[in-house]
Amino acid sequence: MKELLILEKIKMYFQIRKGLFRSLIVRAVDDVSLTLKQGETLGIVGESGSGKTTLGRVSLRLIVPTAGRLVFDGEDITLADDTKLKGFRRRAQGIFQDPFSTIDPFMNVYQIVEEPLLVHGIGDREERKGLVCETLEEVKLTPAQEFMPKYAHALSGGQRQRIAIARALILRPDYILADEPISMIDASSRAEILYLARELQEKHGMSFLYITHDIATARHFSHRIAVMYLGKIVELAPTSKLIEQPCHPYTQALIDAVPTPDPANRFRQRRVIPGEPPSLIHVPPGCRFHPRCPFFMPGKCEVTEPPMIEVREGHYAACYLYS
Amino acid sequence: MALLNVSNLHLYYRTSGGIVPAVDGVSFTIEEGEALGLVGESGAGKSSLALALMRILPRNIAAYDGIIEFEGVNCLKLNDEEFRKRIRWQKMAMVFQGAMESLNPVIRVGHQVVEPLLLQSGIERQQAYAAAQQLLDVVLLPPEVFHRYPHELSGGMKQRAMIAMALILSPKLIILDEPTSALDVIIQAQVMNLLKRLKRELGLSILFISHDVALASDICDTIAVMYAGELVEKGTAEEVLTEPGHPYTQKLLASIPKLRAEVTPEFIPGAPPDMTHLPQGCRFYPRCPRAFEQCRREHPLPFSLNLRREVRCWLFGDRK
Amino acid sequence: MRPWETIKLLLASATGKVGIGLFLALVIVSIYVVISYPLDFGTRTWNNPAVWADNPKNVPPAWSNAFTDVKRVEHTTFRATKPTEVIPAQGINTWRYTFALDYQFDEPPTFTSFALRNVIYYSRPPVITLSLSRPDGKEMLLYRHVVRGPDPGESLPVSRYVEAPLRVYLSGDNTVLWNVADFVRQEFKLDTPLSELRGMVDRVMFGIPVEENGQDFKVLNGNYTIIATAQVYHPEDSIGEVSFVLGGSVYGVMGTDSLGRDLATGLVFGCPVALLIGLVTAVLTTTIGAFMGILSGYKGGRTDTAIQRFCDILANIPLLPILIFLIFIFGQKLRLVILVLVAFGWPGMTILIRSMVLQYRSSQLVEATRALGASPWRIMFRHIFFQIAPFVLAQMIFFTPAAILAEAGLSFLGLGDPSIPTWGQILEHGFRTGAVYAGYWWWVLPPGLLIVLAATTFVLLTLGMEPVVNPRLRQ
Repeated sequence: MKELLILEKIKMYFQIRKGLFRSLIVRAVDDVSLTLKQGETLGIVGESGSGKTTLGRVSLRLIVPTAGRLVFDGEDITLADDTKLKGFRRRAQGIFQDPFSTIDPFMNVYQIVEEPLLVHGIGDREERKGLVCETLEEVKLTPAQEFMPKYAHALSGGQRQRIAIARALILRPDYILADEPISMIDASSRAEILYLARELQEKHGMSFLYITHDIATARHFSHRIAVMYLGKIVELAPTSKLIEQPCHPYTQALIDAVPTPDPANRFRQRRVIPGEPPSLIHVPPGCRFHPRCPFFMPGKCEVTEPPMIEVREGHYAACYLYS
Repeated sequence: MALLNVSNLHLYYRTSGGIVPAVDGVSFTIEEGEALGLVGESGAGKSSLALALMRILPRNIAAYDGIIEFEGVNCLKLNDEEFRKRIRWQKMAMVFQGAMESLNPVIRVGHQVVEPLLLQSGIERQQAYAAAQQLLDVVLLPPEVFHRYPHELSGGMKQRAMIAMALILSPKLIILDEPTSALDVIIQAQVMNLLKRLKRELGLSILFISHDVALASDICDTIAVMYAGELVEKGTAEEVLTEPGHPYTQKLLASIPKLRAEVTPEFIPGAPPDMTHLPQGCRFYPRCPRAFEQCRREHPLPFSLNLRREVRCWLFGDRK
Repeated sequence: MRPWETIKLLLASATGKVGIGLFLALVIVSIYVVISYPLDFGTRTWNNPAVWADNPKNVPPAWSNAFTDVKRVEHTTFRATKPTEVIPAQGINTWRYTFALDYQFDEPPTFTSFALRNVIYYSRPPVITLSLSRPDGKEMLLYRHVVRGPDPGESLPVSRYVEAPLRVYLSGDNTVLWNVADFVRQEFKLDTPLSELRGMVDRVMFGIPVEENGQDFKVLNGNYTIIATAQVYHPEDSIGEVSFVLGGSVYGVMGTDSLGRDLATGLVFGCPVALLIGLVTAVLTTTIGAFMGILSGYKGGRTDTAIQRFCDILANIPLLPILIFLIFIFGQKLRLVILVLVAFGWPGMTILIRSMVLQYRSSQLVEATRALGASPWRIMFRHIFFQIAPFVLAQMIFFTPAAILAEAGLSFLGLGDPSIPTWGQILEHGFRTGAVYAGYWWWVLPPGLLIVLAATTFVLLTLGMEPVVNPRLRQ
């Protein structure tokens, strides 16, 4: 399968000023390499501070990486100027977290979904109308005519997120970044959006980068999952393998922490790793996870960073347990 | 005698769109040492119920009546002053949604935790500060946190500080409204472990409000499911989680994405009803996969299946 | 928010209702002025002494009589362009002009005068007389005059009193004095010497002697008729206007200033001017300020720094010396005042807008729109602008009274445009001529109150607009 989007050794550092002379560096993404194949959904799972959102923004070239390369369909767009980027933007779109602030409250549904067509100069009035109708129906906002004149405040969170999907979809992009698209929607309506996305993927063959903190939904909507901790990828594997046979202790900790509706849970303490992720300014030396790791090996883990190793076929982990 | 007995509680808001019956005839009990989970979608009225119990009411109230009995005392009969002195925070305390943002940024954490204690008469400053320090220890916060400012703490630590603040007057019941919704999943597990320990060691009763049924099941002995202002199902955790009665509960459970199983999560199409224009029949009727004619016409009554189990659904009984 | 919703919100609150009410009142007055006043009112009428020649100077409004014990004479001008009746007699027509006057005042008039304009005759010059018919039945002949005959070389028809009217101040005219002395001797059997009657002509005209002494006259109330006749010798002769002025000590709706100008006309004219200055300045300032603020806030970097520094510089330049300097070069023009107010007003707006835009720049909406591929200009003016539009509108309304007050202040300092009367100008004139010290309240209070009223209108509107800008305040 074709490699659609390649992120090669991406580093994203931010400088924040503290005091008159000192300035600190936040290493949000630190040497991450990923490949997104055509037609696949790659889930990026991590907690806050893991760098997953920043990685997502780099993947859409909303920010320029401090180091590394971004290659889309064979073309290096790391430092591309606006004209070259325009072509990229036509084929790469984004869906973001907050359905309440991602669409303009002063535009009606038609104008919102039409906007990408206007920005890229596609079609005349009639054609645009047709495309908008078609896309609204694809995201199951029917009858389209009824929805087109509505404004954001008249729609539910789930409906707004579908508008956002329609807006991303209308250009028939090859790559869609989905950054926590369902975390602000009611639990009982979330799966609906994910199924819609899967259906659209089967129909149009686009790739998704699905960024989430919820490993359970990633499990049901990703072909492969990459787990991020403190700016680095600690494990990358096909979904079922990652869930059933996690290699990295952090992945295991994440899986252990997910609540399940088992009434017996209340009688026992859940297995959980201690402490909290440290700040991105003062990253622990060696393996970043070592202060909290139940398998910490002194003399090894805190000295140098473990390399990413292919533990099993297609299953990668960065941990000294495997080298 | 139950620690808390709520019977036919109503809390209606007056809004520009009409009257919103946020809490519409809710009844339940909590025994000593019991944790009751109140689950449901956002807008179901769970937070309103908590505010009704704590009597923290906004200005636009249209109705507030029913029975709230705490250790036999009918709270609604007390006036504001008495309620504040005797019940609120003394007997019943609350950790609000997004509580971490409720900390005053210019006052040190320890001083905020100790404040309710200082407002009590008959306590010496030294004693109070010592008690607060000890409480921080109980919630597994390092002692230096006492002198820190809120912005110096992480989300998880702030949440623990809020729990400490709720426990400072040794209440019998604490209400937790989405206490972990802003926390990462590992920190959430840590906080849940803490709450379970506190429940066991202090004999706390808990009212745990969450939209996440799986999370509620982590600590709750009984579960009550709320939809559009009403309780549609009540029962022990075992009963409700393994054999849910109400179709809404069933769908709610089915929409939890299961890590270990292959089965993909379900969803409930549609949205909850507009609270200003409620239908005359069952409020879940438009989204219910097992609805029938009676459901549309008549508002279902709560039917008791056993001593602690109740389901508000025509599938379980008929009008006598 | 849709415009209709905005108006509904405004009307919801009491402040909004009052604000809109006052605003509509100002607008209606302005429309009236625009329709009925000439555009060059300032130069043609207001600053033209000829127009106000007949008016008393520095007198309070007519209605102030209601608050004083002494009913002062209301200054009245009687004019006629056509005779009330024509009495024909063998080729000589007598044109009779009558003016009826109900004299209910407690004082005699300050002066009386008679004027004749635009006389054209084809044969013999007309003979004019003026007499007064009194309520006690007596009739006084006041004045008789023959229009000047043709000069050598002048051909018929002859026109007289075209550029300047024949104006006779009865109070000081000798002919009139003799006629009055005759009257007094005949009718009242009094032998008052001429020297005494000299200052008393008006008192005699409108009075009767106080019993014994004969030196004093008290006012006679009742119906008087002023009769002017013209003996005309040719059917094509014409008289343009005959007028009689009863000099009073109160005048009109708002009194007069030191040049005799009817303050009511000036104040009314000032209404649309104030609105215009206020709104134009406010609109220009907020538009420029908002545009620069959006640009500065969104683009960031060098554009931002450049605009911000420019704003800083402008904020530190003193407004007044620059204005005085420019007036020195270009003369006192209203356009200059507006220009200076706008030029120094927009930086304030820019700074406000910039901080709002900075917030929006990192919002998810902007991020999503960037991901679409939208250009910065589209993001700025299709998306961000609408988010801040309610605030900009509120600022525009709020800035209007500031502009009105600024203009009033500048006029007060003498920097305004004298060819266009504004409330500030009227105030300035009053202070300059010492109206404050002389206690001419009718001159000094109304313009000040009107300025306050106009400013308050906009402040109320802004307060009423608050829920639009801050959604949390909506009921």
